[in-house]
Amino acid sequence: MAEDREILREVWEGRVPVCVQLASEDCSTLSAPDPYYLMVPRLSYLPLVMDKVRKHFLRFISPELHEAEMWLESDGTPLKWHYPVGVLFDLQCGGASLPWALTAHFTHFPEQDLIRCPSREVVESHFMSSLKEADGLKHRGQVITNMQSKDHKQLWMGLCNDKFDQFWAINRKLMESTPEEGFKFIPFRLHSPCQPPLQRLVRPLTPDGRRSTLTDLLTQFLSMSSPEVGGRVVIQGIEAPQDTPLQWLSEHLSHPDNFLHICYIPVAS
Amino acid sequence: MATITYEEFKIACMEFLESSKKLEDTWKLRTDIQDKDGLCIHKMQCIKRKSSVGHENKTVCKNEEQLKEEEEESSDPSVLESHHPTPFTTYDYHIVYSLSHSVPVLYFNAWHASGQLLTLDEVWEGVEATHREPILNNKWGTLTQTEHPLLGRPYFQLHPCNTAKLMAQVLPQPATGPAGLKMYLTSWLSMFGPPVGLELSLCYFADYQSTQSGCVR
Repeated sequence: MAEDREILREVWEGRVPVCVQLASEDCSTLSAPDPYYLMVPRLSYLPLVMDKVRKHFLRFISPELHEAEMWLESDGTPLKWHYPVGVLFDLQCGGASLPWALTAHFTHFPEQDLIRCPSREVVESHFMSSLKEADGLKHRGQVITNMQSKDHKQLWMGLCNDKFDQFWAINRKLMESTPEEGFKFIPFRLHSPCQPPLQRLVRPLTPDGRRSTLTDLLTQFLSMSSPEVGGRVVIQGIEAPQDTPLQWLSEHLSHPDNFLHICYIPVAS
Repeated sequence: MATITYEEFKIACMEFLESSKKLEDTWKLRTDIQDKDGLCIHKMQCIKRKSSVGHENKTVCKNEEQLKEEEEESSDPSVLESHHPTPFTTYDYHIVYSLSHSVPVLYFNAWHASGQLLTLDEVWEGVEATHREPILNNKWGTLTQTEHPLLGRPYFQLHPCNTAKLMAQVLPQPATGPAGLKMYLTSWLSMFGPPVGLELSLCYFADYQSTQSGCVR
């Protein structure tokens, strides 16, 4: 168990290198600004880590855009900020070329693709809804509803301030289960490029009492969404052994929203 | 806690669509869902707002035909043109199942006549007067923009985290059988629709009672 706790910390400390450039059409000065380089926590959300980037670019855009919402794009794809940074990175970049090159935009907000995010409250509301969903699956929502609102706040502040101990002091309770049975269902989202993530009800044990593994999940659901075999399956940037029990993955490799985000990257994408 | 399974939700939707057809309402099955196991039913509706009433936000529901008739009337050259045309908003309501909470969820998008999507602030301002206080007191926990789970695009959502508790108060008995499940869905919709402008005809309930007593309409 001691080394498993180490895994939680390793996952928490995961970072991705990012290089943000200002979209050329939004630049109003003669010379383009320098790109902004930063290391972003995998477990965070883009709007929580982009304040400095926004400030850096404000001097280079026309004043009437100063109140506009900044949105990010990776290789032509607007980034859905409501997924954790690590998930977006694994799906869009995968570490093929580092740092991950992003473009910041202040105009043409793609309202067909992206949720508006004018303030941190939007991110907090989204994070809390995800937590409630995950606990609905794990414990019929009983753990999260029995918590006090200060506990909810502590989870959120722990994530915002990158405080592992603050976050896990509460998150521990959301991860509780009986050793024999595990959670009621495993909260997971299976991401593939260009489609909404797949969600299904999966129990930690198979009907014959065996522990469900990653293979069980993938054979059941990947064939449905994408017929071609092959490709990589990445969780938290790692290709986990496919015989890993889902309960273990859920307890150790879930994001702070308590969902296990599994990224499927087809071979020729 | 009154929850239903996904299989039960599908039965409820099919029964509901049947009633909608009978009552000449316009609920339809979405056929553009990528996920072959995903089910979503939807209804489009134009809502006229009496703009100058300000925060009263009285709305009048019109179906597409009524609107068309009005358009024709207003194109009559002998009618004096109004300087302040009544603004209308187009709503697209979706009923989707939440696997996490085991209840139906109402998603919707709304557009101004110009085609511009309503902002979250405008949606909050538009909440019907009678429901405004409870929703706006906890607006970030009740009504926000989120990703439609089957379409992957931004939609407004009435949060489902308390639905099961509410439904248990309305329906003390667990919903069973096609008629009972339809009753569950209609009762749910009659609570979650009105705050965001979606009124449900009482005929849906009359229809339920007639099936219960075996009457032929």
